Amino acid sequence: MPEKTGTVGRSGTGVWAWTAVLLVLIIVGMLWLTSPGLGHARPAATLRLAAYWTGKEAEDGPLQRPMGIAVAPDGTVYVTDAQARVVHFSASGAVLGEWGHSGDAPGQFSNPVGLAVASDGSVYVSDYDLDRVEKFTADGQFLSQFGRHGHASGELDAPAGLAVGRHGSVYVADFYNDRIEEFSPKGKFIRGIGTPGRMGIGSLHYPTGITALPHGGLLVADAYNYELQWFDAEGRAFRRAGYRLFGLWPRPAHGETGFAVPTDAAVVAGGLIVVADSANHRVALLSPDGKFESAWRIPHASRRIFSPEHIAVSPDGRTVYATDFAGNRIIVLHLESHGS
Amino acid sequence: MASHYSSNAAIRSPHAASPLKLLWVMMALALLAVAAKPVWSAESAQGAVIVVQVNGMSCPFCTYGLRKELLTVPGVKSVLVSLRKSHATVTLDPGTTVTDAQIRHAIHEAGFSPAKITGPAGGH
Repeated sequence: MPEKTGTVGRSGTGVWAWTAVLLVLIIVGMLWLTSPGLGHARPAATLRLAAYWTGKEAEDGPLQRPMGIAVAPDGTVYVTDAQARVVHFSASGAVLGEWGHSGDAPGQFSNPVGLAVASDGSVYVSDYDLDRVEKFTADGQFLSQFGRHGHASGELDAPAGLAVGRHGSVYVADFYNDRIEEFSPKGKFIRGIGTPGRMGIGSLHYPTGITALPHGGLLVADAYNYELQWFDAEGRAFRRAGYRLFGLWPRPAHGETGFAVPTDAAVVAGGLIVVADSANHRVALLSPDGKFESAWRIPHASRRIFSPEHIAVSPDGRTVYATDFAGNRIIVLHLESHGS
Repeated sequence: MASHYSSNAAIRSPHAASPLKLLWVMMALALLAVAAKPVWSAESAQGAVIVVQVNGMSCPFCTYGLRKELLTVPGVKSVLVSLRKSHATVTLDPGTTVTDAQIRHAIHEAGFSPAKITGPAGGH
């Protein structure tokens, strides 16, 4: 009996070992097959650091934990920060002005996070704490507001990124409600876009950033599904980019494989896409259909704090502005095309 | 098998009135458990300060969410979240009381798991 038992034990171990090896091979193979493998031998373009803006000449002091950023049609840049204000920069980084006071009265801010500028120059600011969006003139005169706390259609729970569409619609990344909401320029609710979830295309999980695409669709930074999602003008999702384990479950990734908490995206010259890949501490550059091209990484980035957060692009599409929340500054990058 | 079931039934039958008693015991235990949880009181004029360690805080959107949720707890006057130290400093309104469970619930609502909660010296 002892001999027999021993023989059976060795044989069983062998079977288990081979099974384990086989399983590992299957898993590695699946991971390899399902990883996007987006790399290009020669990137079509790269990003080069041009400047850091700290806003130190602003009346209320330099930028503190900047979050939202938007570029106006005239090329000037608006930034929100933790001092409950909007700071207005020239295209060269000079502070043109600032506005905002802490409070919940119309025109005041509790926690201004998202920014967008309409074609007429009016500025929209989302307030994460007050669950509303406020509209100002280009120089900060309060015009109107919309939104209130809740989970029903037209209500908001922690509005983050904003975008203005071709026809003036305002899109809001409704963070805790896991959706995008569309409002008219006057603040009337139009529709919800995306559904809460992790799996199917169009499912959103804590979206933070949004940009209006030139053809009328939307590009959404679906931060905690670790991916970008494209929606057409009717609000239907038709593409996504990011890593999914076995092609199913969203997971953070680095390198060319995917993103780790992508918090915003924007379109640059040539239809390329820049992504604020915050937990990877980089700005990634993608082809128009979402293939990885290259990335610019924040040097000596704080490991404890995700950054950059939001991203915007100059009217000519060649300069990229990103808020570096951890570094209390704006990162200015130039797009360098390498030809085809 | 049938006898097995019937014997179980026989065992249960003497305790026909026990569900109520059990309910009472469970409620008492639950109350005791709640009572055993720390309760933070702000008896000083400045209000008490609670420090909550929260693991995994790195994303500004999430930490703003944490602050927003903690501010909804009745009695919480202000919240300061430190991303670098991964903790939230919660100041209570003078004369108010906040339970450990309320704080933990708010942290869960914000999508986090609370770690250590430290109250004021002799605060509970």
